[in-house]
Amino acid sequence: MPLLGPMRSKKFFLLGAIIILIILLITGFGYYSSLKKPEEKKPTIVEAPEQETKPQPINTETPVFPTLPTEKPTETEEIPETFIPTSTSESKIKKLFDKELAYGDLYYPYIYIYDPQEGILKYLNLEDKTYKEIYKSSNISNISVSPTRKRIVFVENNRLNLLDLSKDSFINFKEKISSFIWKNDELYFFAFDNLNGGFVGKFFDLNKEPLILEKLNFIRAKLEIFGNLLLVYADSLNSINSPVFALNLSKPAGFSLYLEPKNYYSLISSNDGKYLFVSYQEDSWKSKIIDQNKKELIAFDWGTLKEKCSFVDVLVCGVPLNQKTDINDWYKLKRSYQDKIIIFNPKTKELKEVNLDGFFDVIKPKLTPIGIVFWNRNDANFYIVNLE
Amino acid sequence: MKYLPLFAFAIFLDLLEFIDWLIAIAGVETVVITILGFIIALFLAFGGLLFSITLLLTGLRKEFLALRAIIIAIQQILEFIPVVQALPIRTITVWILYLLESGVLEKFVQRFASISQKLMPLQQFTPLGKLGKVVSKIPIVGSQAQIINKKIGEFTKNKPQMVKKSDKKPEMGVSIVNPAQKSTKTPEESVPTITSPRRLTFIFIFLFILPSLFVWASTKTYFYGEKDGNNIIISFVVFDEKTKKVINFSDNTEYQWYVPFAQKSEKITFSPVIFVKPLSLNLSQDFNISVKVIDRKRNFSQTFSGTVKIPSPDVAIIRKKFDYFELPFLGNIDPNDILYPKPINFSSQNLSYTWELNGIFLSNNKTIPASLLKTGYLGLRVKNLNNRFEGAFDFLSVK
Repeated sequence: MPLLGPMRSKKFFLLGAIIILIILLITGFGYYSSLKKPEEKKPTIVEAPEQETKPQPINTETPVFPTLPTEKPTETEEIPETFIPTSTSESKIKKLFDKELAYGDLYYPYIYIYDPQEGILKYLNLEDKTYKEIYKSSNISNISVSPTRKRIVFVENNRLNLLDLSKDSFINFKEKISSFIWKNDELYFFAFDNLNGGFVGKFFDLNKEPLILEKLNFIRAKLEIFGNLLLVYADSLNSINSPVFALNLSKPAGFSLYLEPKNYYSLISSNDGKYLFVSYQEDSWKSKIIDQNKKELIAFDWGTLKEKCSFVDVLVCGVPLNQKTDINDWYKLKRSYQDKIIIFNPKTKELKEVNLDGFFDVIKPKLTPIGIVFWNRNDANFYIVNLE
Repeated sequence: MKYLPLFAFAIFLDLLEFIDWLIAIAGVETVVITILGFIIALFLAFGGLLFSITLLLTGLRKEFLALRAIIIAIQQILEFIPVVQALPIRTITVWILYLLESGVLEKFVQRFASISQKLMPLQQFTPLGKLGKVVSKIPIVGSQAQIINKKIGEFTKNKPQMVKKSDKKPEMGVSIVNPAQKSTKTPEESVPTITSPRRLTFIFIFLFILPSLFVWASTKTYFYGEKDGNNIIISFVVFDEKTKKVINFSDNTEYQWYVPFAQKSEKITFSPVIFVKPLSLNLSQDFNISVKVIDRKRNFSQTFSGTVKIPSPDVAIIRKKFDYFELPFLGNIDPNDILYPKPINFSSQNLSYTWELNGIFLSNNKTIPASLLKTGYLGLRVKNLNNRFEGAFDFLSVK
């Protein structure tokens, strides 16, 4: 090569060696930085604050309310040897109702339930013990109520339906929707179309078709809304390892990477959109809370599932005592968890741990003025944990 | 200089040690991808450097050095801008330099000057006047260059004049060699031209092969598979690691699939989804797959490959309440309970069930009453009668 004489070749070789060394140093430093764990702050145990939500007046009908049992309610099941025994007294946990009911949502004092024996979807007022019937059907599931309580979605005959209580309207979605999430009265959903692939959509106007926001070619996905971002990641039953992609809802211009790929992501955002609880598996189950700048607020050495958490001002999660059970086995109903409850206040960084005496597989625990209300997947009953 | 081989040897050993450490902490797959990324990044860094130097020195004349340096500097800056870097900046740079060296640019300036002179009075044409001043400061040599400098000087002095084409050939410098013309220069005298085959090959390698490799290395493809009866649905997501964005293709994009495990391994679709009938019924493994995406609207063509994992069949022993609640069976005997199988990811509903207690056959029925159970291990085997490769097993201890 005319440009590279013997002297130049040597110089190039030396230059190359220096570049290799620099790259190695930078990469090594990068890996070292990524491996270096931030110091975990040990939060102190305090009482979690109560919700200030005030109930709105509703038109009550028949004041017949499922009775709250007075005798020892919990059928405590024998704990397998692999689980760590707990020490909380039994009197703190009570059944909320005396029959098995399906869980819709809880916006205190209103709890939305479905009674499969009666085939009625209704909401109950936990304070004045009144109830109102909403919808009659022999088989509905996956009930979710919008934060404004004006709209309800549920699955009936394998199709997603939306009931608008304010306008007394009913919509049946044509899309094959695998997951959805509310932002006020707007319903954001992920659907997979056999012809066009996966996409996220938005439904708001009853007189209009759902709006396709952006294509994202997962087959099944999970959603979370974090501030102005719609976070989407693959359902672990379809793909264990997945990145988290974000779509800016104020300016939808394609999905961008939000979190690097990890196993078994579970995300839940706080109601004010300031914090995001992120659980994932990396050698072991881990979790953390980040803010909108992705700055880590706190890291935990345990993990849990989206279905086991709520984040209304404070994070309330059912946390499996056995952190090694296969997560997909839980989704397939092959295995069950025995949980404790963790309450974390991101503002004061205070954490409370509540051990449950019994075999409780906690679903959607919510902190209310009367205690923590949750649904137990092991027996389909509602329970209330007194925090005093 | 005697330390140089030792230095290289030390780097090599340190590199091996580093790779060994990476394998230990990150696994082979991650390390292979990382090393590949390293090699490509290194290749690109070296290639880019070599390219810039070659570009600077090709057909070098002192008079052009400053201008070349400015053009190359601009090219380097543009290559650092995230979105702009995707444009063929190197190609444009080489083209501009070629135009400059060959005199085409000069001719263009001449022609442009003469046309604009005809169209409007020069004193009102300020931008050209400014351009003329700038260009006139650039030392261009050769008879044509002298004429241009002269003419541009005349422009700026507001003395429009028609530019005459010079009959003289350039005294020196790089020009396009016309194959029909025989060079009168000896090989020692001849100046390397941009059309030299070696240079063209070199430019081709760095302009086309390297960017392709880099694009390939900067994307990550996720394939997803799911059973739909006897068919398999496959979809994919392409993520650009440079822009950190998911790539969405235009509506009429063509997808040329290569699915080795399908009965028809090659198929074209116009959506990023494909339904395939598998060649073998045994799908309990990872499959290699590739798809060529031809997005004509964006003038984009790229092949993406990876592995697709089809979720395996599985079964769970559950109990039902009111024929509505599906609850996990925890192994506690309640005589009122009826146990059900919950099959997952089977390609058909034509299944056989075998219940066993402590390894002894219990029943072939789909459901069993919990009252039949005793302490021990309860097992359930499920087989797909339409596919001998599909089977699943669940067991748990009964108390």
